[in-house]
Amino acid sequence: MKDNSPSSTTMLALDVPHWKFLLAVVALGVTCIITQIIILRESLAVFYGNELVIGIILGNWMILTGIGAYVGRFTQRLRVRTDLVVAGLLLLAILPILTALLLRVMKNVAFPVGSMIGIVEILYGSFLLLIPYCLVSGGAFTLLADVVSEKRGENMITSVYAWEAIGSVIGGLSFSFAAVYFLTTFEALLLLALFDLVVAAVFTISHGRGGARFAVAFVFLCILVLSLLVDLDRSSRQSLFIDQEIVYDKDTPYGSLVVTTQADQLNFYENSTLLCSTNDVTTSEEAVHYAMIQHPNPRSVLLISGAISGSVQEILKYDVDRIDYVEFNPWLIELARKYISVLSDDRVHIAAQDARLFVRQSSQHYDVALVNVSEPSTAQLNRYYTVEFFNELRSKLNPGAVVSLGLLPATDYQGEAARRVNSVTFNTLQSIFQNVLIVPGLKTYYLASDSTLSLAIARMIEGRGLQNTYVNPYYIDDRILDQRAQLMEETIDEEAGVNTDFAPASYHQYLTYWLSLFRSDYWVLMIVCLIALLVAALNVNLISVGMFTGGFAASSVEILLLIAFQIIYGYVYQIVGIIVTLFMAGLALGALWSRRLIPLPQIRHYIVIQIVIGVCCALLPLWFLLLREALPHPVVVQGVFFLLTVAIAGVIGIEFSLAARLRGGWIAAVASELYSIDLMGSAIGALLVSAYFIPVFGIFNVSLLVGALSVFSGTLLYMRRKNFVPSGAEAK
Amino acid sequence: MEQRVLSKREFLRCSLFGACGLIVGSNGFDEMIRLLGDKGAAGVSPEDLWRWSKEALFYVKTPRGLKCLKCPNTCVLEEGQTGQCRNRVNYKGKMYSIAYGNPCAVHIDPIEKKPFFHFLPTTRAFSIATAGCNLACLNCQNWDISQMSPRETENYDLMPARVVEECAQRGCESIAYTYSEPTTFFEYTYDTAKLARTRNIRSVLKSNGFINEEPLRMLCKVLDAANIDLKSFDDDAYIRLAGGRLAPILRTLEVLHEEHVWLEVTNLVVPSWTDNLEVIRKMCEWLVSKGLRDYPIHFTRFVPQYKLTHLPLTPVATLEKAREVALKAGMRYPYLGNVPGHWAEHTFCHQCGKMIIERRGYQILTNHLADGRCKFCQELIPGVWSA
Repeated sequence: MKDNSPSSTTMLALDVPHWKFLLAVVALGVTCIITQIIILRESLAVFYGNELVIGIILGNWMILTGIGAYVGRFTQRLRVRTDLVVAGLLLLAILPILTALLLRVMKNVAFPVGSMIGIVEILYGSFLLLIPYCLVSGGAFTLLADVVSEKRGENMITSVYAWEAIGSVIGGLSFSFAAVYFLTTFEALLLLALFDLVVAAVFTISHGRGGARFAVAFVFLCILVLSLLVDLDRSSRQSLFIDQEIVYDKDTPYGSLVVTTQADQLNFYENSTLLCSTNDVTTSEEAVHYAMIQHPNPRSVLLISGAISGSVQEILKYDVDRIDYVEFNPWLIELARKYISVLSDDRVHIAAQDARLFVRQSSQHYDVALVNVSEPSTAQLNRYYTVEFFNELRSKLNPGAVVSLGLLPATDYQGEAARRVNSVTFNTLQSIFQNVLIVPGLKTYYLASDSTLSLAIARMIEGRGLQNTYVNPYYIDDRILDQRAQLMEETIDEEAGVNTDFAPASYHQYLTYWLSLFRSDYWVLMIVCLIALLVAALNVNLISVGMFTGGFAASSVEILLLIAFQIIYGYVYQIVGIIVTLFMAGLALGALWSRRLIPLPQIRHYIVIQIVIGVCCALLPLWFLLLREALPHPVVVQGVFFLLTVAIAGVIGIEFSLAARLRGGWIAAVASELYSIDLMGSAIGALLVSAYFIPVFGIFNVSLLVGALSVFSGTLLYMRRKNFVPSGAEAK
Repeated sequence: MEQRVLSKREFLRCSLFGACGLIVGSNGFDEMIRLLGDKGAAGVSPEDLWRWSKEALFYVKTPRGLKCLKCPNTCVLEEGQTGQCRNRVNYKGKMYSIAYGNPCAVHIDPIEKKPFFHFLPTTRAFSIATAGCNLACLNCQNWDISQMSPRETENYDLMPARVVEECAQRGCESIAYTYSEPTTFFEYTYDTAKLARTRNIRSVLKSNGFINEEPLRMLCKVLDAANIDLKSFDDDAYIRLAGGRLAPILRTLEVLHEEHVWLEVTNLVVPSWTDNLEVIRKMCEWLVSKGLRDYPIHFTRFVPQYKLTHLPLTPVATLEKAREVALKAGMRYPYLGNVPGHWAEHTFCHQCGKMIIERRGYQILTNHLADGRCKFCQELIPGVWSA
């Protein structure tokens, strides 16, 4: 090998066996994925649970890790790099705990108590918070890639990348399928810390210097003492719920659930946002009676979410035979059973399942369907507001049935963003049902039916003799209700279109509405990303452009597959976890297999692989359409998705390997550049695709866009291929 | 001297870096985001002062620009600039209100909704509001109006005379200036209320009370009732929750009382912000010491709104305790708000303690008042009970 690395001038690392470094790489992968999942979940719980926040956190994460990887190249010049590896492992042990702690504790210190944080503050805050961990983990990749290559005397970037991906797979699997059910956030992070410490100890046992061994032992003791003396979960969570006493606290796969008590009241929170408080008759009555009273004799009711806010008691005021309560978070059901005694009534049947799946599979037919899901703030939640869902629901309704949906607070004036959200919802319902009525209560409710609907709600309630505390003639004036409803209907814009699974307009409009709370423009973040893209594009060589589009394609395709799967099949946490894991596995396999497949990499291979990625992405819509129309057996749907995931990830893994081998030069420099470019592409892909492209252009168009980008970079490379001069990379 | 030649690529790169550096450096990154996204500036170009404008009252020319004297924000506006309330603008050396005759929200509400419990009960209020507000409460219920400029909302064309006419046609007993902040559309409120007087229509204000004394006294001449939000008796809470100050609001309460405007006070009890019973006690003691004990105080239940969504609803027990504290301090008519069906919606005679008005929502079920006196003990019950 032509040794143009400066490492020959430094003192060689102590003679640590090769496998120990690979163990450190695997540990890095395990730590990174678990920390990423946990910090992401915590961020959603502390800030707000929508795709924009996910995109920002992931974006910041990848940018900072990329910077860390870039800076990591300077570790080349350092001596005793084994000690550096140990130091890195120690930091990887401690920093996730510190980061998670700060995230919870600082929220009500840095921002007004109980407030929802704005998008700019989330951007800054998360950036600052992630600096320590991400810089270290990014630098660790470069360091390890360089050290391992030095040990083997050849370019081992591909292997390190693959082993890190394997570590991610192991970490992702063990967390998503085991730890998340049994361990709290800090229990998982403490266990992770111990794992890193064990790996550090393995390093120092036979080869470490005295100082390193002492450091490992010291940190180990600290963590042990901490875990025994302090309940980190409860005490840090308490700082998010000032003046309240936490009586229940669970990190479920679907988000954090907390129940607090204050004076005589119980409060239920999901991801720090209040779901409901007890003694809130307004919410529980509005969600039920506006719809139920429309039907002359409702016997069979479908309740999608909302039992925790007292809906079931209200429904039972009517002479019903059956209530099907569907909730996809089984822990919410557990809470509801604990705190709502009427759930044990014989007429109530509970299903812990995604409502879309339930409706498709159910043989029941209903007189009233109460859709009490959260706002369409994610692509996942958007599925309950679509033409397809209402169609499926309609097929399970009896003649004269009524559907109810509650959305934004009904204010005295609806701004432009609120109007668009209302319009899309109204239009979507109108496209399926003959009659749609807006009821401007304290929340805006939409009633839909093929039979007539009436706003004489107070009169009907009185006529039926129902004893309500709020929905009655004392608090509701039918004339005033009618006037307000008319004013709201005048603001409905028919041109606003409808919401469909693959073109999620409600999700888009709701994101815009959410941003308008902070007077932030929807497009500003995207413009900033594009400027960053432009700056980066002027600075890199063609191989790295390919790497960037590869990273972009990787995260975009992963998101597309996840969302499409939920649309076509339904939301099942475990299967989502499998898809994410398979993606990482595919990357690893592709990267490792590429050496056997293409032993002598040349520029034309690289061009071809980018075109292949492009074509695969562009073909995704065909697969989605095929699956949606054919609706094969669920196992077939899952199988197809799994195969697609592994296939596309594998191709992208091959690309990374080719890039690494073609790039040549100092290993550290190559590793850091490629890793950081890959991450930058992934970061921008994550943010732009999930928060902008999908809501605005829809799933199919985004697949084509991502494919086009890859084809474009391949074409660019083809046109400039003669400029490419291999820079002395090794032959393997 | 050797000339260094830049390639096209290098030139473009340098320029881009330079431009980015300038932008980030001069404005700050977050300011850039806000500037690009913020639709609240809504300045007026010299060419288009629109028809819903009127020269403002209460301003003075200074060397730095026009100084608005209407509220304690005392904005100083250069040419083309808009005030913090977004309703006032400096146009060619004069200050104009751009919230005149252009309400964005027009509804008919029961008067109890404002809330007014001792002022023309069971009547209806023709309620109007333009966009704009001089505070920025984190929990604003009508943020879609209050944190906007009239230029950003879709407005009706409803000059004062038409407001009065519409109110009369619909049979409403009063006009309510409400939803956002009526003292920011001061001229519109004043002119409409003045006209309403000529038609025997009452005018009621639902306000944050953040107004200077002189304009307030002028407004009082045409006002019949006011409900003022006394958000907290803690100045620090006022600054952090609303961006305002306590002292001007306390002065507003005193002035309204001096000017014989019927007054009701709303205290929104926000968990962790304004639910300290000791502070509530001090607030009630102050009200009593200033001779305001006869005016109703509504302890209202907080519901997560706008930016304050990571808080629970106010426990009913806390509101009940606040009511007890108020009674102990000497307040005669404390009520609970936003708690449907609660017994503290009823009116109890401050003298004999009997229930004189059984109130449920916006309806009165039983009424034991005769000529404004308790039927049981003949005590005069403060309020404006009939038109």
